[in-house]
Amino acid sequence: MSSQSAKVDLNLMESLERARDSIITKGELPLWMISSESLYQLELRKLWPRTWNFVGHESEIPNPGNYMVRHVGPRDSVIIVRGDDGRLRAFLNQCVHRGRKLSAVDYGETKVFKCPYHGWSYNLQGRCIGVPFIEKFPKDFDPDKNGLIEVRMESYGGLLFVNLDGRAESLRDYLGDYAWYLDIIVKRSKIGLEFHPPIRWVVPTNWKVPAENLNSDGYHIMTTHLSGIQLGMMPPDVNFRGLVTALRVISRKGHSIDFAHWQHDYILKHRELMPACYPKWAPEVIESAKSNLTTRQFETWITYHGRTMFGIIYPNLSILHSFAGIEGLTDYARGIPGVPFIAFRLLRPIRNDLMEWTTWFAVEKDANPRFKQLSYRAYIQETSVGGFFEPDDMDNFQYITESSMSLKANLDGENVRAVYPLRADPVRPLHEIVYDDVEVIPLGITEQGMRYFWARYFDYLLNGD
Amino acid sequence: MVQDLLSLSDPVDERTYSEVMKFLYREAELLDFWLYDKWLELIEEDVDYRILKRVTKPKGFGFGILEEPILWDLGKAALEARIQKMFKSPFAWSEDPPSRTIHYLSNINVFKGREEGEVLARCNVMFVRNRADDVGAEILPYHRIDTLRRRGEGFKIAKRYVILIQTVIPMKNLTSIY
Repeated sequence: MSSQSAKVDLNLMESLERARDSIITKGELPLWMISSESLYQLELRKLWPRTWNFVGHESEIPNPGNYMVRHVGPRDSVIIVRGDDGRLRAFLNQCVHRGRKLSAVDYGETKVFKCPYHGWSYNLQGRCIGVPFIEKFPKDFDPDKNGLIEVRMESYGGLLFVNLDGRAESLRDYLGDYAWYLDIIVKRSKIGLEFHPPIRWVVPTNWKVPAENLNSDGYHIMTTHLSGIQLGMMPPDVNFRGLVTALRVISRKGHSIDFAHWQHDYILKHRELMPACYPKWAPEVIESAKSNLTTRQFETWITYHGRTMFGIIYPNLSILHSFAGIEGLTDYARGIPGVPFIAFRLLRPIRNDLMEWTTWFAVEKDANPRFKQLSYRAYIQETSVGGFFEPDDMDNFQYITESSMSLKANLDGENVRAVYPLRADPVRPLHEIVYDDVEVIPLGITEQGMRYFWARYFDYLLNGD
Repeated sequence: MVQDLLSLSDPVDERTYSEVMKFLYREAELLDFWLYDKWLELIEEDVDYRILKRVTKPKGFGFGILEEPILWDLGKAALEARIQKMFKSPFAWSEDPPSRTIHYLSNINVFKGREEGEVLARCNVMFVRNRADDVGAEILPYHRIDTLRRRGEGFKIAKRYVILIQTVIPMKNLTSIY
């Protein structure tokens, strides 16, 4: 490495250290860092290989022989397959002969993976079971040493994550105390959630802009999403200023989940709609939750989930659990409220200025069929690529990314900044403290979750070479 | 459902074909020039408007067109809400400034519908959008299957299914009427 680039690297490391300090102590971030190409390059080495990357849900490939192909980070492709033994495995989507990508489908069903180049074949467990003209190969060529390259995959609540470098702490440790809150969604049903095939589109933004937004930016909802809110598919006696965050759960590991509901007098009048109108549409889900969650978890759900639970699993898996009034169906005057839905969204980087948005609909497997249908409609009405809420976020993300690329931002990093000044004090958490990495912040707006998001980001980029 | 609509192939007479073609071209013009209230006059009360989800399946496993849509407005009130939110609201940021669009229609095939008084129009659409001072234009090609009902001298749209050919949508949002 030339001394020139060594000097640049040193400067970069120093500015990252300063930024880490600045985001925590002052709540300030140099804007240029958001879309920086050097930081993007650093992410390739220091972030994506080391985190747990979401790839989908167990329910998407329920039977032996089912497989799906998913991206991990900006460059990698994996095949996730259910073997004859019922187990799920993840393999690098490439033939071990000369690296040809094996599959270009979304979902498939097979007994064998056969490479179209020279015909090498692998079974569902990744074992190499066929090599044409094997008798011409050297005597010491051993097919058993030429199986598909397995990548480390772990599951929590059916959610599948891949760690590329194989060295991350266990998924359970990675989640830490945050898992207690995540359980409220993923462990609510004894037989779990079912995920539907995702919707995918590309957005001209750096991934970190939506990721930080979805980590506890409740502040933007009343402005960005006003046109969606004003459609009137809200309960009529709610005032717009009344959407409050009852609880913010933020992890120093960068995860977050916010519980948002209505002003206090509305809740007192409409307890029968808590949580999130489930009692009206799927009371069996509440019954199931009562026996599958701990008492404390169940009470937290009932008490705090009036309208929305939203947050991220670090670094880029967003969870949105809300309800939506369905046009043509919802009519509060006639006692037909909005319908709850669960969405998981992956904000996958492609370039420093481009990402792929992938959204999955999830629903409790044991919920009644009519609810599943209505919940799906609520989900796409609200959050899909053409929904009443999602589209308004996209300009925000794109235009911040563009500002971040300005020459002025890159020249004057101290003064062209993103600021996160809002603070509120944590209270005693609801969960039993095991990892001690989560803060719980009650009513009020804070941007602490976003500050932790960035601090964690800098920790990854600065450490562990 | 989609298979059924794709299979209908009883021809219509020249006059009907011509009327449908004129209808579709005029409808596209209303959208491209932002005449949304006039456009809503062409919509049935029980309209079913969907953009279908598409996934890639291996060869032999079909088109990969799923029944579950990625966008679904059921009933005219839902489309009115969409137009209100996307175009009329003073806080419609995603369409502020408004998109400039062209719906190019071609390969218009018209057949007798399933029900009396209905015709089925299948066509290809090249939807093009430009906004602000973006260079170039976003392009979204799709098949479209419309069920039209004869109403008075003209038609109204009872069902519209949009079938994309891309599994990853190349746009940051779908804020238009397709």
